[in-house]
Amino acid sequence: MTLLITTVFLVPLLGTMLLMFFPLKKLQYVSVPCALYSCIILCAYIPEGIHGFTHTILIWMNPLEFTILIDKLALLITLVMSVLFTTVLVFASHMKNRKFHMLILLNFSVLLLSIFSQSLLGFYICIEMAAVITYFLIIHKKTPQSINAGLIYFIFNITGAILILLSIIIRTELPSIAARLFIIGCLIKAGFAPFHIWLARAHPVAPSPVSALLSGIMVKVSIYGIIRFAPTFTVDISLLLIIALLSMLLGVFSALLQSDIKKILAYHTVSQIGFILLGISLMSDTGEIGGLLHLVNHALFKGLLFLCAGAIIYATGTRNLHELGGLAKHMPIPAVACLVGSLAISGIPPFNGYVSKCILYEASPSGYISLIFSITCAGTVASFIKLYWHTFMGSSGKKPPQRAIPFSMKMALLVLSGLCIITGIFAQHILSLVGYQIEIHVWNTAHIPQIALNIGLGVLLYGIGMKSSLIVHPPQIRLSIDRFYQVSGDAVEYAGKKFHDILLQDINYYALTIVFVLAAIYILFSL
Amino acid sequence: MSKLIILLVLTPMITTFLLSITAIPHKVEQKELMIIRTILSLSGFSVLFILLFLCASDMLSGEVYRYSLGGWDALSGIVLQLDILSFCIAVLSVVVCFFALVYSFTFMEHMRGLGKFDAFFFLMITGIMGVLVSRDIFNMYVFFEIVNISVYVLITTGRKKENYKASLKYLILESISSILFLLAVGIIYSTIGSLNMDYIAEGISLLRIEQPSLIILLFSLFFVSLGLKFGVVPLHFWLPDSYFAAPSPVSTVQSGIVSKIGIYAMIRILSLFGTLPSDMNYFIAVMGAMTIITGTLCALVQTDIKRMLAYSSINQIGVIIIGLGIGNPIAMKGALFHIMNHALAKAGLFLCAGILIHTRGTRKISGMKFKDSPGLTLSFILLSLSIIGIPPLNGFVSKLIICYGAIGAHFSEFTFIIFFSSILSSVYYFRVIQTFFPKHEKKALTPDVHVSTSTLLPIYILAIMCLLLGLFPDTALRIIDIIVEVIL
Amino acid sequence: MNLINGISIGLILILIGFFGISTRKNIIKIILSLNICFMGIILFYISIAYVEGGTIPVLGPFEPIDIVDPLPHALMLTTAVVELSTTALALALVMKVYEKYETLNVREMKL
Repeated sequence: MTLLITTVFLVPLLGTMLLMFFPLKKLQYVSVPCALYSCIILCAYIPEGIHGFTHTILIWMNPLEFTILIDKLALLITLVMSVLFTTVLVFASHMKNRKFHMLILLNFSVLLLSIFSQSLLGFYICIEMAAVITYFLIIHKKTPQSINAGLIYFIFNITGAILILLSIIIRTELPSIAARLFIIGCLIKAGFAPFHIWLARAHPVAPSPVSALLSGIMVKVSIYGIIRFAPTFTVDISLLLIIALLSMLLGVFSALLQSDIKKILAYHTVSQIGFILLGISLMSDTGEIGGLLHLVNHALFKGLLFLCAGAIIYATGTRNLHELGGLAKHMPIPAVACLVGSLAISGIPPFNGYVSKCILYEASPSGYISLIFSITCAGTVASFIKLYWHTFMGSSGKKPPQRAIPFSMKMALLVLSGLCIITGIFAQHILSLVGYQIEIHVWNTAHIPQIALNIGLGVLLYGIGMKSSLIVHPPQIRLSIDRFYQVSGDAVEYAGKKFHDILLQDINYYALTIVFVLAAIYILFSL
Repeated sequence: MSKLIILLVLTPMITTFLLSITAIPHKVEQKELMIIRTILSLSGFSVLFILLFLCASDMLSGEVYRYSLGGWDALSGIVLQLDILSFCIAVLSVVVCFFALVYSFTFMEHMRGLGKFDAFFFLMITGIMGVLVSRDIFNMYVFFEIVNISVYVLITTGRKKENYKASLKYLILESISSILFLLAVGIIYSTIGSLNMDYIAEGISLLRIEQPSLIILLFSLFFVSLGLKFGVVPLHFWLPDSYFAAPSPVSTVQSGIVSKIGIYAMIRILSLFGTLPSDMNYFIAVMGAMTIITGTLCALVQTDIKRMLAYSSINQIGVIIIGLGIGNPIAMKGALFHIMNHALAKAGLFLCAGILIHTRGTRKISGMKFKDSPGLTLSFILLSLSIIGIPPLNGFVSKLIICYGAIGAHFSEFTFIIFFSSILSSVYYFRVIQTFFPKHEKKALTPDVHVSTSTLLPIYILAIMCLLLGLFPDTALRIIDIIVEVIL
Repeated sequence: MNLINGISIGLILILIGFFGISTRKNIIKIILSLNICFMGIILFYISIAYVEGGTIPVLGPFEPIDIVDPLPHALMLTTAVVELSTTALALALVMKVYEKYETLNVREMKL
């Protein structure tokens, strides 16, 4: 039975090899069954996985031993990961490019391996491979903007990954520095504020299935890393509260000012992972479960929203909010799906976002944390009212839909919307199935005032925004964080140039340098 | 079997001689001469491969071949010795040189036309084999000079003005290196009385107690002299010009092998000193760190692809020096593995760069666009990922092992330097990779020169070897374990 | 020990050569300074070999008591040949460089 678990990530790998070596025509459809297989096998492992078991894989001729650890945490995340991958692959089956499917399958198997791995080094290796593969997925469209954004994505991710590697290596030697490096590395890779600019730049230019996966899964793996490996580093997670709150606020208010639908969704990812981190850093059982549940739900509804955006872009060819409008009559299914997604992310019952936000609200102590929580929820509501209104409602915009979306897209959207509703209503059952117990009664009427407050504040914010035309014509704020990174990049290049120019001399100076070095070494050691 | 050693050095020498004969007659058709040269070169390589294959099983079990020239005893004679370290680097050199030569068959027809290129190429291989097998320190100097002279000539194929300038700069700086080396050898001979490395080792261990200042002088002379050969930082000035100006097969062999010969010589000579005091070790590692920082910062601002690759070579050699300087068996293992990985990866990258320059007509990074050959793009990506140090490629494994060695010796700052350079390396490598991808523009660029498979095949093989060594490093690591046992 | 012997003069020659390489701007003077360095090395080696009151290492009708060590002389023959070829190559390169750059000044051609 334990052998079967290795096939979970070997089958997508096999799919990749198949796609690479057999140039048949319709072969990209093989990607969906591969992902579906993993999904099914993981479901089959639920009863065993709750108790947690390990399995060691020895790779031929590699001294690194891979130990797979499957417990409820890994199982939960990999289940939602495989569901999302399957749905995204169904959505993307209209893309005939074999390389695209190959890379997504490879990404899938590597990410599965990273979540299953028990050792830090295995986790790092798989995350690093996933980062490289995702780079090639992001630049798939090969426009100049996507290549620029890809480079920024790559630099940030590599920095985060190498900080993680450094922390793994120096763990025994300098434990406190290692702990800090690990946390910072995971934060950079996850796209928390103040390291979120790669997320905002990479999402608009990537193809929509890739955006869905990026927001839905890849940032979550780093958060999973924090949850899983923080005890090994003996780090105090409660300090991450500040980062969480910062991400929540910064994400929401940046999103309110954008007019590109994918950028809006990207900034909302930043905000929502702030929620997840809030739950984790509160160091209580409820908080942890709330954070985990929000992680799962966010994968689902953010994936849904990005796929809707993908459908809109496929149909109309534009990402700009001001050019869209009145799509509800032309594209009913994306309209419904987007409504489900918007309501879910805003935290309206009976969708899944409501459940997790409710648990998180219960877990957070009252005071300024609850205040920021409410403000962020209100901002989310406002932002999605804006998004939904300007895309689907109202009169037709400048760009009416040019082509109909294929059936595979509609199916994917419907499946995800259904999952959002189901995980909302049956949240407690699903969690206890995987092994988590929560005692909070989510469907209590006591929460209604809070919900009404959030919705009310949101509508108010939207109204103020519309009246002052801040939302329609946002001011050009040069975010100082963006400037900071640009300036530091320029500084490094400048230092390099100066250094290089100093070293370029005539041969006389070279000979002198050699003699000096000789003398210096001799004197240095004679002392 | 030990007579095979002398054949290892003689074969390329004979091939050189035969090839230089083909350079003389002008009445014979050039085409036939080219075919004769090609056949001669390939047969020279095949003999070398056969010889190395014959030695393989003995070497891998740790045996050592010795052969004294002329039968003179070791004290005053020249002894040739082949042990596993020499064997591994010999295999590496022959493989890389073979690929470079195969690459040059299709690519450099006009330059090879006069026959001098092949002859000097084999002369360089003679020198490399000679350095690897010699157990006598003056003999090593002579073979180093043979390598140097052939490289001076090889850099000038192409006959542009920067070739001559680079060759001249290289010549002057390497002559200084030879002077310092000879001085050190003279001091050794006058105090110890023998030139054989085994006797020198015994003599130095006696000398350390009596005259420690002499040991310091010897160490500094050897370090500066050999540092000039492989490019530690205050002594690296000839490197960028030389790699930049030379044609691609020559740059390949230079960065892949000739610098590694210098490192090999340093390993041998430093092992003569016995266990170095820990501050000398730390000093070598600090030099390595400076090398990494310089290489990274200078590579960031280059606009020319071959100069960027040259500074990246300096970067990686710094990593190897850190591994050597730390002195741990683990770090030494990592350094030796990195020698192998860097030789393969850099060879592949220089060959790719050659193809890119040739087909797009420009050396500037912004001008390189090559999406017509997905195989080349994939190979370039794999090779550069290997140098950056990303799993599952081999560069990552060797850097990781070096860092574990650094931690073991409580020098954790080197870990930071090695991996920060990885981050910056990814910047300048991806700047090149991203030029592979833009969509075709409407205006036609220079018409594509057809790149034949025999030119691309070495690159593919090198990229696949990098990937395999990264995914399955065990065999290589076991061989390196044997090497480390033999050295330390 | 006499201060002015072959070894010290050899070292002084090497230092003069290094001084020449470091300060002279004409490329031919730099090559000449390299030659001076090599001469210094040769002198150094030959003086190492010298034994007070030694005779030539040739077997003859009489038994020699002290012979001058012949090994460094052999080494220096090799070195002289290597240095000769290096200098020849260097001068050929200088000729080519002069053809291309029209100057022998190191500063001007940015060697």
